[in-house]
Order: sequence, then C-alpha cells, then structure tokens
Amino acid sequence: MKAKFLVLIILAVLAAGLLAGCAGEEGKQVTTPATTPEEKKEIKAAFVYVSPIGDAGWTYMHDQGRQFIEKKYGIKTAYTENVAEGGDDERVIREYAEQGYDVIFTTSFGFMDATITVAKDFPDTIFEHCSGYKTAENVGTYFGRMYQARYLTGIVAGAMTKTNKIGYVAAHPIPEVIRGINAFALGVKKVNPEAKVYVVWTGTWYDPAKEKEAAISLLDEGCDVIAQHQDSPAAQQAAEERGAYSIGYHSDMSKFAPNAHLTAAVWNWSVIYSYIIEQVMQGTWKSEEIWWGIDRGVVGIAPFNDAVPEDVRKMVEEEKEKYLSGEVAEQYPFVGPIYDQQGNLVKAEGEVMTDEELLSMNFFVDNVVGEIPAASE
Amino acid sequence: MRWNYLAPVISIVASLAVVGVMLAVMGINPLEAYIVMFSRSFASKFGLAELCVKTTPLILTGLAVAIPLRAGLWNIGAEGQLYMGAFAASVVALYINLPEFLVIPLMMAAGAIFGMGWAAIPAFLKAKFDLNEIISTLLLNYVAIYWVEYMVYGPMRGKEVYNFPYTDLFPDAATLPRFFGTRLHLGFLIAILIAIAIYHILKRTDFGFAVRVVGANPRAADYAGISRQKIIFYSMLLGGMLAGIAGMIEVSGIQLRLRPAISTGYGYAGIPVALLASGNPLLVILSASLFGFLYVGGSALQTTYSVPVAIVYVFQALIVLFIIGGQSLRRGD
Repeated sequence: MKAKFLVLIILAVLAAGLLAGCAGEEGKQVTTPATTPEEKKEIKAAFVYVSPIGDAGWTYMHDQGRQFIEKKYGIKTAYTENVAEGGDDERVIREYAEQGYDVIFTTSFGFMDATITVAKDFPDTIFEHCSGYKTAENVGTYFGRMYQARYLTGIVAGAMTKTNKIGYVAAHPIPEVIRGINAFALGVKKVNPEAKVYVVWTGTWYDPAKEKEAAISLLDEGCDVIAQHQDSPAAQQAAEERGAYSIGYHSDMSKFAPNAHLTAAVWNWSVIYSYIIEQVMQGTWKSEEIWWGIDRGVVGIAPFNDAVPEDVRKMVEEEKEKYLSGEVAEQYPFVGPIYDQQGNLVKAEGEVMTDEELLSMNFFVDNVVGEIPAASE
Repeated sequence: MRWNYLAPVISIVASLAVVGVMLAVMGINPLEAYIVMFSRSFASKFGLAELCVKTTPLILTGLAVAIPLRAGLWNIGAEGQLYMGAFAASVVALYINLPEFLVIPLMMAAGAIFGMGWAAIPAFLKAKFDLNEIISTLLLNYVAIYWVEYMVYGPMRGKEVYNFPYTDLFPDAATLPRFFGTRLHLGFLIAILIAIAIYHILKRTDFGFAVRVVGANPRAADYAGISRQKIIFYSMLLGGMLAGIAGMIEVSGIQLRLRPAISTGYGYAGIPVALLASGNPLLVILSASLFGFLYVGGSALQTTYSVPVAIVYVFQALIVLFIIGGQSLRRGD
C-alpha cells in the first residue's frame, strides 16, 4: 500500500514538473532572440566525443586540437567523452546548446542526425559536425583528406616490405576506411608493383585485443609490414613483438613500437579548429563543408624511423611536395589508370576521381587482397 | 517494515556523501554538483523528458529481473532478451508490409515473443535439468548481441547508411509517437502501465501467489502442490517478454533503426534496479527513475565540469555498491 502511494507521488511530481517545464520553456524562447549582442563576447566551445580520450586514437587527436585552441585563443572549452551514438548524443549536444556554448563540435559520423536535430532548436548556436554529409544554416561539416597521408605511408610500406605482403588491420568497411586502404595500396604500388595489401576487418574502432589478434594473423600469413585503421596501438605492438615493421595511424605511435614504427598517417585537428574559432570570433562564420588536405596541414606523416633509408624518404618528400605545390589534384593518388580487384578499369588514364566518388567509395584497387562485406539488397 | 524503506534511502545518502568527498578532492563543490545534477534532470522540459527516456527501458529490464527474482531465480539475461526483442521488432518494421495501425502492435508482439523465446532457453534448462540460470542467461547475452551485430553488418545493413553498420531508418509508422517536442515517447507510458499490471498480477492472481511461494519457500510450494518447474519456467518467460518489449521500445522510440550498441547496459542495470526495489514492481518504477537520474545527472556532470567519464562511472558504481550494502543490512534485520 505504502509503495503504491509513493509511486503515485512520484508520478504526480514528474507530471507536474513536465508541465511546468513546458510552460517555462515557452516563456524562455520568447526572450532568447534578444541575446544577439554586437560587442565581442567570450567564446565558449564544446566537444562531444564518441569514445574516451585515451592515449593515441581518434578522440585523443581531437582532444589535442581542443587543448590547442583553448591555449591559443584563451577560450573556454568543455568536452564530454564516451557519448553513445543514437542514444545519448542528442541530450549531450542539447545540454551544451542550452548552456550557451557558441560552437559545438560533434566528432563522430554517428552524431550527424542528433546534431541536425538539436541545431534546428538553436538557430543562434553554431554546430560543426565531423565527417558527415548533412549541413544546415548553422551546421557546418569538417574532415581531412587523410588518404593523402595514407598514400605517402603506403610508399614507405611498399619500399620496406621483403615478403611483398603488407597487412592492414581495418575497423569498419565504410568509405573513409576503404579510401584509406586504397590510397595506401596505391602508394605501395607506386614503388613496388609486386606487393599486395592484405586487409582484415575487426568490426570495431577500439578493441586492443581484437586488433592485436588481427595483426598477429596477418603476421602469421607472412606479412612483414602492418598498417592499421584502429584507435589503439595494439597492432603496432604486435609488429614490434614479431620484429616486423608497422605504419601507425591517428597519432605518432612510435612510443608504443619504437623499432617497428616506420611512420604514421596523423591528424592535426588544431588547424581546422583554429580556423573555425577565428571565424566565430570575428563573426564571419558561415556553414561550410571543409575537407582539407596535407597542404593545409590537417593531415600529415609522423617522423621516419631510422630504418627508413634516405632514397625512400626522398621519394616520400617529393610526392608530398606535389600536393604542396599544387602539381597534383587534391584527389591524387586517385587519378587514372585505376583498376579494381576484378581488373576492371575504374578510371581511365589521367582522369581524376571526383569528391563524390571518393566519399562513396566502395571497391578495392587491384593490389588489395580482401573483401568488402556486401550490403543487403 | 519501516527498515525496508529506510535502507535504500540510507544507501543513497551514504553514497552521495562518499562521492561528494571524491568530487571535493577534484576541486568541484559537491553541493553545487548535486544541484547541477538535479536541476538538469528535473528543472527543464528536456531534462525531465530525458529522465523518462532513460527510465523507460530500466523499468522493463528491472521487471525482467524482478519477476524471476520473486520466484528465487536470477535473470542476468535481460540484456540479451532486450537485443532479441529489438531485432525482431526491427525485422517487422523494415521488411513486413502492414497496414500502418498494425505496425507498432505487431512490432511489440514480435519483440515480446523473441524476448520470451530467448528467456525460454535458460528457463527450460533450469526447470528440466536444474542448469544454473545465472550462467546460461549471462552467456546467452553474448549470443544475442553478436547476432544483432551480424545482422546489421550483413543482411540488414541499410542502403542509405554509407556502409556503416546500421539498418535504414524505420518508416514513420514504425516509430513511437513523441511528445512536447522532446524525445519523450509513448514507451514511457507503456512501461509504467506494464509495471502496474505486473504488480497486480503478482499480488492478486494464483500465478502471482505461486511465484511468491516458490520464491519464499520452495519446500512449502511443493507441499502446497505448486509445480516449481512450471513457476520457474513461466516467471522467466514473463521476464524475458518484458525485456524484449524494452528492446522494441528502444529501437522504435529512440534509435529509430537497429544498430550494434542499442543498449548502454540496460539489461545489466536492471539487476540493481530490481534489487533496490526488492522485487516490488511499483518500486521498480522508482528505482528505475533513480538509475535514469544517475545517467542523466552523470552526463550533466560531464557537460558542466568536463570530468572524465571514468569519474561518472565510479560514481554510478559506488551507488550500486552502497545499495547492495543496504540489502545485506536489511537481511540482518
């Protein structure tokens, strides 16, 4: 009896609160348009991360960017880590908007719909979504052309392999990952047409045990260089233990595998974050679809291991210079002739793939061994 | 009797005190932090709606644990039953052409049946062979979660998802109506109604009586001519059914598609929810909202203070620990 009574009370409180909340909210919305001051105000930026910050992966690099802008511009930043896509993202984004953050960065593809939904309710707040394709008046997107750095690291891998078998531990078969694998393979092909890139899917962004297992299976198959599209350095450590070579991703992972780690394809988000924050501070921000490359410094490669010989370094530098000087298109190395695994010509000699084609890429180039799991019909 | 209600209150207050010390060490004023947690969860339309959103699956998984618990059984498998319910509901939503008004009821039925079916396996093994239900329900969780993963990576992967492991969005007819421009959806009401119904079933029906007798004194049940096997079997089935409905509600009300991580551990959280409520279905509503508050308030702590998520987990775990401590206190009574 007592229990029933308690529950009734709680329900009554909840209901009353909800009604009061609704009423209060309407009142608030009338007053919000008044807060569009001309004077320069303090900028506050919030970051919504999909995973814990950790020490090497995707979120870690975004957080490096956050710390950079906090220091450089003296602005207040906040973050929430390990936010579940589809479940909690909308609440967290909304909380930041309600707290009056001027710009909110949502750093995972899966936050796309939640970002758009909340942005509709906060037209005066700026939202920046990383790696998605939906924009709005107050929602911009940003990403980096990581495939350019992948291509350069592929050159290193192709030059260093002895067995002509290069392993690639990959997370999910989405276009971003596939593009990275293909660019890497094209780099390998450039210096070593005999070598093949062997892909293993882990089905997870972050699972050190699984990543290591996948790397070991590749090493067992005779691969002597291991590349990865994963958040942990586990694959690097596997290569280190076996005396093989490795190519890192996200950050310079050399401290996890000092002997194996040849170089890494790395992010530098501070470039984009600085650009956006400056636009916001000057009041000149507008919704853009930023997709910058190595020429802007958003992506790059980590310092070489001593094991990388001088001629290889030189070749990589020369290729990198082509991007910086504008000698090649941004889409390079996706310039024909490009063949798929079945030997079909995807792009004829000299033809450049469009950004649309890059963003929806769903095939492997001819020197990749592995399968892209098919979607449903 | 009084002690029964006092123990959880003491547990909660004690955990708040301990966590308060922790927050203070980190340079955060604990009082202010608690005010933030409360005001963010109760003082705004969206906070309150989110509280209900988080509470909804917890009520159902709490009941999924509580009902078998009343019969003396541990259902650790609510998580898996939830996933199977979500899977079945998604199949109905995406692949079966139905008149619009039938979609939601059929999704719910499919979710209920699959949750029930998933619970039937350990229930049968327990009733027939006395196989430990803790182990069988726990292990079946992994099977269910990987089954859903397999489906969204392969056969059920959507066409408009850029190869991400999601299904396409459900059609509108397959989504639960939302209210007040928030994420509050019909599932909340359904969960409350189910809890009230279960309360009456346990209290007033022969089945409910039998469940309570089997749980309280199995030997007495035997003497009274109550079939223990039957009660074990059906109480587990009923629990699985509710967890399955929780899965259906989660995909239909919140996620709007099937994906690998649809639950942030709701099935496991159902265990302390049921314990805190001592298996009383009405109190499950209360304890589920407490856990819902921990989720929403915990994320408010993060958005306000940028504390590492690990701190929030420690906080939540401490409260659960204190509750278990409170339980043993009550047992000593």
